[in-house]
Parts: sequence; structure tokens; C-alpha cells
Amino acid sequence: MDKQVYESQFSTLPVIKSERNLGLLDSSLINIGWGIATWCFLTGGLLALLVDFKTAVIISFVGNTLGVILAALASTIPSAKYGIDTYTSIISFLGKNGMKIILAIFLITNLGWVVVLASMIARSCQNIYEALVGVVAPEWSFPAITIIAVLLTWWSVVKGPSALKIMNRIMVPGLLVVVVIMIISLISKYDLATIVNAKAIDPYDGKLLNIILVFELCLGAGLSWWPGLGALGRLNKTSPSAFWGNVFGLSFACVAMNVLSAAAAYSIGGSDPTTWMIPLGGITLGVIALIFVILANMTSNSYVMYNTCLGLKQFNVFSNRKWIIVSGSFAVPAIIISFFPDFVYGNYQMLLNFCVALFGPLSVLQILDYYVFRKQTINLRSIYNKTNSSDYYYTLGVNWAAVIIFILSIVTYCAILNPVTWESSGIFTMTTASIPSMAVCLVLYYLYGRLVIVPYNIGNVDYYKNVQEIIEE
Amino acid sequence: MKTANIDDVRVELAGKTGLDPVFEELLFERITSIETYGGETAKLSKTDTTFITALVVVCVGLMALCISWI
Repeated sequence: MDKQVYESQFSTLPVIKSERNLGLLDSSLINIGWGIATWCFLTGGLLALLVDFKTAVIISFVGNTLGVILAALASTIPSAKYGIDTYTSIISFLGKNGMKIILAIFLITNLGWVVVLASMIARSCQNIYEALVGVVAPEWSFPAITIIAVLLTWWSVVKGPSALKIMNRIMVPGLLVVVVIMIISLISKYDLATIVNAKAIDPYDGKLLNIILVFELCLGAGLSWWPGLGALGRLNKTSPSAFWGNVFGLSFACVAMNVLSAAAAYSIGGSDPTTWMIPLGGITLGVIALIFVILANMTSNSYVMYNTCLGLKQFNVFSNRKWIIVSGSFAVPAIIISFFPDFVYGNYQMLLNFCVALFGPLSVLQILDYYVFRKQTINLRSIYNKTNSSDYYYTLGVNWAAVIIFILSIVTYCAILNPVTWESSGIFTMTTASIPSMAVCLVLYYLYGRLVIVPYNIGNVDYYKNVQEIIEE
Repeated sequence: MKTANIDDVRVELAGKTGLDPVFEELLFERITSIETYGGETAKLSKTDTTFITALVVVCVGLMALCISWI
């Protein structure tokens, strides 16, 4: 591999046009490969618990699509234009050290995602073993296989985006075929009318409460992609291929999986896909389906780990380290947590809710900064300038106003909906928690921008005027 | 006034990126290239924006429909 291409893929240097290799088809396939994993099935299972089938279809589409659009406008578009990942792009409105504060939070949430997927791989393997051998798998195999899955993910990340692209070209078409077969099996075994008219399995009291809860889950699912969108966006040849690849793969394909999983949950009564795939498809087909789910999880996990490790390069201690060292630094804590997979696996909805609380306001901040104040123009020199001469140094490397507003938005969310216990305040069913949270962020940062940032040219927001002059010359 | 010139980028950023010299020179080349063309990709087109707006409107409408069923 050419040294320049190697370095641009594995470091935080901008990816220039000649090094980009994704058009709309490849972008869509990679997004599908990233998006379709067990988390889709888990979300579908949660939908089936709380709402009826028709509502599940609509809310899954609405929540996922709005979440992905918001996250993609915020993260994908700047990354596609400048060839930088998400963590690099947010320096423009958070400052260098402000970005590191946020990045530290991402590391924790992404550790959770990696272990969730790895633990689902372990559950799939256990179910395959039980179906083929007829004996319950030993309990120690759950953490053991989880650890092996994390190690295999690390190996694929070390190989880099080219390896991921090849994995997707093989895995995604196979997975889509399996999904179609599952749908046909579902319809042939269970009356379609029964599925369409299925009621919620175990809802809370109050239909509106359940609708708003699943909307928050699906919006969280859509927004949860925000940290990783830049790493893929910067590999696209055009902005539309980057954006629509996100929408096709991370929204539409995931919605289809949510619906399939919800339908299976209504029919068979289990939200865990590793328990219904074999009863639904029979041993042969069910095992094949689980193998593809395992592969899908591996691919998705690889992307999560790859994106996170790109972010680690922002810290001085990792910026000049070899890729295997950087990726290993993330893999080791993931392996440690994998000794306790039940804790993470059993709190999946908490991860989704935290994603809305964190990434909703961040998306709003980034959209305001990039489109409204900076007119879609970033000063790359200041992005990479680590000294206080950078436009984005702010105060001690942090845009404190943005950080404070971000924290206030999270507090707003948690005051309306407790992401840990799901206890909600009285206004939750009227407003959701995400809308007020993002509204607080939008109003406060917009006012701050109009009253302080623009008049005093904080962070050199007038930079776009210089760029216009350069191009016009 | 700034110009898209690698020497200008080098003077402004040399030693300030925290990268080793080999990576830094690669960075200067890339920044110069990106500044010359105003970015590596164009903005979303008006057609894209129209489709995005339509998707959002459809989502809001579906949500309202869903709530009206209660």
C-alpha cells in the first residue's frame, strides 16, 4: 500500500480526493454493513414490548430517519468536505481540549457498544452450539467467546478500511439474502394479518407514554452513529454519496431490521434474535442466519473500534504511535469489560438513551457552528494548530460556552427522562425529552452566537470571507 | 490575506501540530490542496436539500398520524 494512503487512513491527516474510494454504492453497502447488527434486533424487540406493529413500523422509521439526518448533516458533511473525522471537525466549536473532554465520554459509550456486540456474538455461538449438539453451552463460554470476538475485532481494525470494505462486499449481500429468507419464513409460518395487527407484548400504562419512549429509543439509535460518521464520510468521493449512504444504510436498512425483529418478537415471543432465528428458520437456515448475524456484528464492531481509535489519535500520547498500539489501547479495556458481559448486555436501552442525551445537543451545536456561523467553511490550519495561536484555542483550549450549554442540555434531558430508570416527568409525553434538550441547546447557542461569537469574531467565524476572496481571485 | 500556498502553510504551522516532521509535511500538502479548491467535495445540491426537507416533513406527518390513532 502506498505510504501516503496508509498514513491518511490511519491517522488524523485529511483524506484528499485522490485517496478516496467510496461512491454511493460502496458507501451504502458499508453503511448497511455497519448498521445491520444485533442492535437492530434488540431495538425491534424493545419496540414489540411497548407498542403495536403498525406503530412500531412508523416510529422506527421516524426516529431512525430524523436521528440519522441530524447526525449526518452535523458530522458527515464537514468530514466529506475537509477529509477529517468527527473528532477533528468538532475542534472548531469545542476547542482542542474541549474536544478531548467529549472524546473521553465517547470512549466510554463506545466501549459499551463493542462489548454489547461482542456479547451478542457469544450468545449466537452458544445458541448454534445448543442447536447442533443438543446440550446447553457452559456459562463460562459467554465471557470467553465475548473476549475472542473483541480480539478478532481488533485484528480486523489493524488491517484497516480496505479490509472492512472487502468484508462488507461479502457479508452484506449474504446478510440481505438471509434477511429476505427470514421474512419469507416468518410470513409463511405466521399469518401476516396476525403480525400486522399484533399488540404490544408488555407496555407501560398509557399508549402515548409508550409511543414517546420508543420514539426516544429510535431517535437515539439514529443519533448514536454521530461519532463514527466522519470516519466514513471522509472516504467518500462526494458529499451526496456520504450523506445518502448514511440514510440508506443507517436508517432505512436498520428500520427494516427493526421491523423484522419486532415481527418475530410478536410471533415467537422473544426479543433476543439469537433465540428466535432457529425456531423460525429451522436448524439449517437458523444456524446460517446466526452465522451471518455473527459476521454482521463483527463488521459493525470493527467500525466502532476503528472510529474510536481514530479519535484516540487526538491525544498527544497516541498521535505518533503505531496503529497497533493505538487500537490495542482501546481493545484492552474492552477485553476487561468482556469478563462481565451481562452488565452491558442487559442495559442496552440505557446506552440508547445516553446517545440521545449526548449526541442530540452535539449535533445541534455542530450544525449551528458549521452552517449558521461559519457558512460551511472551516480553517484547517487552525484545526491542526495545537498552540494558542489557533483560531480555535478559545480559553485554555476550550470553548467554555459550548461546553456549558452542552451540559445544560444533558441536564434538561435527564430532568425529563431518567435514562437509567426510565422514570419520566409529567411533560415527557407532551414534549419528549430529546426535543426540549436540543431546543435548549439551539436557543442558547444561537443567542450566544448572535450576541457574542459573530460580533466579536470569536473563533474567527469570519474566516469564510477570506476563503471567498481566495477563490474569487 | 491568506493564499493557498504550501510555504505559507509551512510557516504558519511548522512545529505547532504535534506531529513528527514526516507527518507534518504530508499535512501541509493536504491543507494546501484543500484550500486551493475550497474543499474536497461540493456542498449538497438543491435537489439533495429538497429530498431531505421532504423526508423530514414525511416523518413529522407520520408521527402526527401515529399520535392521532390514540
